[in-house]
Amino acid sequence: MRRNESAEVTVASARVAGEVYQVGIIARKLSLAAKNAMAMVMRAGSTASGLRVVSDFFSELANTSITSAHQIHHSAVLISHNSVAQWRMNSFDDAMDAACRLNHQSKGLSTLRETMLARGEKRRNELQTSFRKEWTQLINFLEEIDQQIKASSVIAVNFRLEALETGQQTQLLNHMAKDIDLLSGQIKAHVQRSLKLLRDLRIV
Amino acid sequence: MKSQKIYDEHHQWYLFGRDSDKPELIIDTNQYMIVNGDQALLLDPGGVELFSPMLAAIMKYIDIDQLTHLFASHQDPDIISSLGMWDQILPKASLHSPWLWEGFIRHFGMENIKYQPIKDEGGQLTLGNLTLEFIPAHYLHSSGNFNVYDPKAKILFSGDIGAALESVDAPLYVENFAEHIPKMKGFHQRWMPSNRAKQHWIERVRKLDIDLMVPQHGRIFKGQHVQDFLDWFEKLDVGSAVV
Repeated sequence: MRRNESAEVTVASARVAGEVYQVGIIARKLSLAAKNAMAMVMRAGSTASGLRVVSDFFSELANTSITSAHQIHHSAVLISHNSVAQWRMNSFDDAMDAACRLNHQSKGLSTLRETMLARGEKRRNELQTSFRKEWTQLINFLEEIDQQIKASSVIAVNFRLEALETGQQTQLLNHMAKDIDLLSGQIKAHVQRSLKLLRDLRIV
Repeated sequence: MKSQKIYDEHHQWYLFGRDSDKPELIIDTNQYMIVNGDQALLLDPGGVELFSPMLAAIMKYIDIDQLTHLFASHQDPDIISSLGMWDQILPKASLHSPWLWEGFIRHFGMENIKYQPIKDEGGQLTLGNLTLEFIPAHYLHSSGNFNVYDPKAKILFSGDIGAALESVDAPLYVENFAEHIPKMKGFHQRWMPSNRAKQHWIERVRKLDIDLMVPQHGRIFKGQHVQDFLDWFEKLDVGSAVV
């Protein structure tokens, strides 16, 4: 990781943690909306059977979003810890270099610096390995939700069409469809902002 | 950073400070190192900004493996915020500091160094054949606070007591006590919160045989100036922020 990159990663992963915290809150609202829709479907009986599939989808989407939000938050915090550790190692290396410049005659100091650099290299490799693993996992989690959310717009249209088909409580079901669409849209915005934050860092 | 040997008989005391290269807005500090044979103790190692000049300076006198003990009189950043750096290069060292501050001081980063908590009533540290005493100085200014007394060298490291706010080119020793008072007065009135704690400390310290009193900021008190300081401090009303 480049010198300033660790500070940027620390900030970006903290921002991602903030974004997914919002995802968790919205997902809980989505879950509630999906449960309400299910209750309406039950009340409408067989005429609303098409709606059941749709409300099931949103319920599942809400549950997946809540679970993923927890996992993403955990992953983002691990990355933040990791980048802070690398950041501190870089600061320590800088401090050792500065000490050597101030007392360049001391053989003991330059030996100490070499020893610390070698020890630091091992630790840095360990941190880099776990960083790459955590980074990939974080991107995967976010992309997974992103894919599911993309499908939700289409499903929301279906919800409205099915609501019209039932001929019962059409206005109320339409209103619910709008709510669900709005909530999943908000989740999508947070997830995409998170992905952009991470991709902008251009870490391979 | 300047460094100077201030005692050299049975063992050695070194002073590090008056750092003209330090960032302008951070307070100037004195760090001290006691070396006895193959062991050394660093007193109030300083803030993270001072780590590099301190490391460069101490390695003029000792090998890093000799630095076996650190002492932090209390928890302030100018005392010990460099801990996370020392922790990297002194994995086998011990940090002696008030028990009260352990959970706070660890925030500076401490994975390797061993924390040796000092009880409220004080304690001792053996450095080779030298026994040093931790003298309680609670509420002067920190609520958990210690001085270090070396009975062989007759030196008292007094931490913030006796401190003066001065420029980095100030002399190392108090030359004229009366002229030095204005440099100390405001500091002691504002930073020291308790007259009772002050009197308690003065009574305790008057019983010690002291040739040099070495504070963490400002100048060293030598001979009669030690008694001058105790007399002056005794009469000073502290805790000035409470009107």
